[in-house]
Amino acid sequence: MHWIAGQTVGAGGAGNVVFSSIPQTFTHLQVRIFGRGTTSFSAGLSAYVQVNGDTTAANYTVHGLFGEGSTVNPTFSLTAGTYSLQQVLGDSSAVAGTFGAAVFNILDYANTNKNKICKVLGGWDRNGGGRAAIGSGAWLSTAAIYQVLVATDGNLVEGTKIDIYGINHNPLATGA
Amino acid sequence: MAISRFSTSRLTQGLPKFQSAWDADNVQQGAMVPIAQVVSTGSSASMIFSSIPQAYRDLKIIIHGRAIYGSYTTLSVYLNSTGPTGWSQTYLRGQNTTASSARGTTSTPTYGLLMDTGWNSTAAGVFSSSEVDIFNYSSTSTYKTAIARNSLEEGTTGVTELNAGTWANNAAVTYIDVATNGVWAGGSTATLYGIKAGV
Repeated sequence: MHWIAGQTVGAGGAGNVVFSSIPQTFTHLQVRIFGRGTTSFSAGLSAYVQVNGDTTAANYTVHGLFGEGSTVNPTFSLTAGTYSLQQVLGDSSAVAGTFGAAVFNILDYANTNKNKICKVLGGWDRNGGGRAAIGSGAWLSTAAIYQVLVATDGNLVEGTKIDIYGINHNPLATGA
Repeated sequence: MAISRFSTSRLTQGLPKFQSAWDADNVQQGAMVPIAQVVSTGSSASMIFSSIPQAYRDLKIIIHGRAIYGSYTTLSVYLNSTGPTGWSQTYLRGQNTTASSARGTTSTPTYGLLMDTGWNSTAAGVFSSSEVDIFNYSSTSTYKTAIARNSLEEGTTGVTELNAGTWANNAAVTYIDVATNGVWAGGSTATLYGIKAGV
């Protein structure tokens, strides 16, 4: 696993964080988010990852399974508009300093023959509320991914940290 | 060229093809860096990491655990010698055919970040398997968020868990205690990694 780039959101917050010109030399990508947003919604805010600037809703499908303290619920969207994991980041009504986290793994991102599958897990806890969630998503395109945009509901607050990593196969392994 | 000894683990980490294995000084190190490993000898209830370096973005702990204990038990991750104080968490859990979710709050701080682990009645040779990510651990201005993925597979039964926890403390994490009831069985391991940000 190799660090490619990262951003820490500064004073005033940010609407989103974009990583462009992603090198095509890795096998998979991992996006790690430690985040909180400016919207007030006590259930939590969603983590969104959109690729190559594609905003076409029908190009993204997502499924999730989450626990919220007493019940377990599935969720899905066939027109999601982004990869996403719902309500896993901190909201503005939580105690200061409370953030959520999500880790998106995008498989075989540079391949031009496959649609791009994403696996994600994440969650947050606000001492009496919160979620633990796991999900998957598809970007229904065979284009190689060269850009990733990360956002939440509202703006990302100061102190949010987002890093993108490349994961390599082992060049010494034969696979035999 | 610097000549140095290299280990099997270094060989299996993978070197770019333009580098030779003996060019250890030039090997590009990955972002997931081993910091330390504790291997239980069967005499302690804790696997402890102290003086944790503050140079990484996140921490990851991989735990293979089994307790010597006469009844169902758990493993618990504590930070900075504060025990369970400040921990709250939300679980998603599957056990055989049942899915469930539960929550712990700071008003009932019995545990740290909590997961199932093996105990005396667990089939011989079965250890729980956990991967714990602690985000932004060196910050002194935010609470610490942890995500844990855990499983205990026993052949005839089993559990898989995802936990999201918050340690309500702004202190940088310098000490981690992976604890259980009774003692950790010999061969239980906890391995700490740092996730780098930056080259």
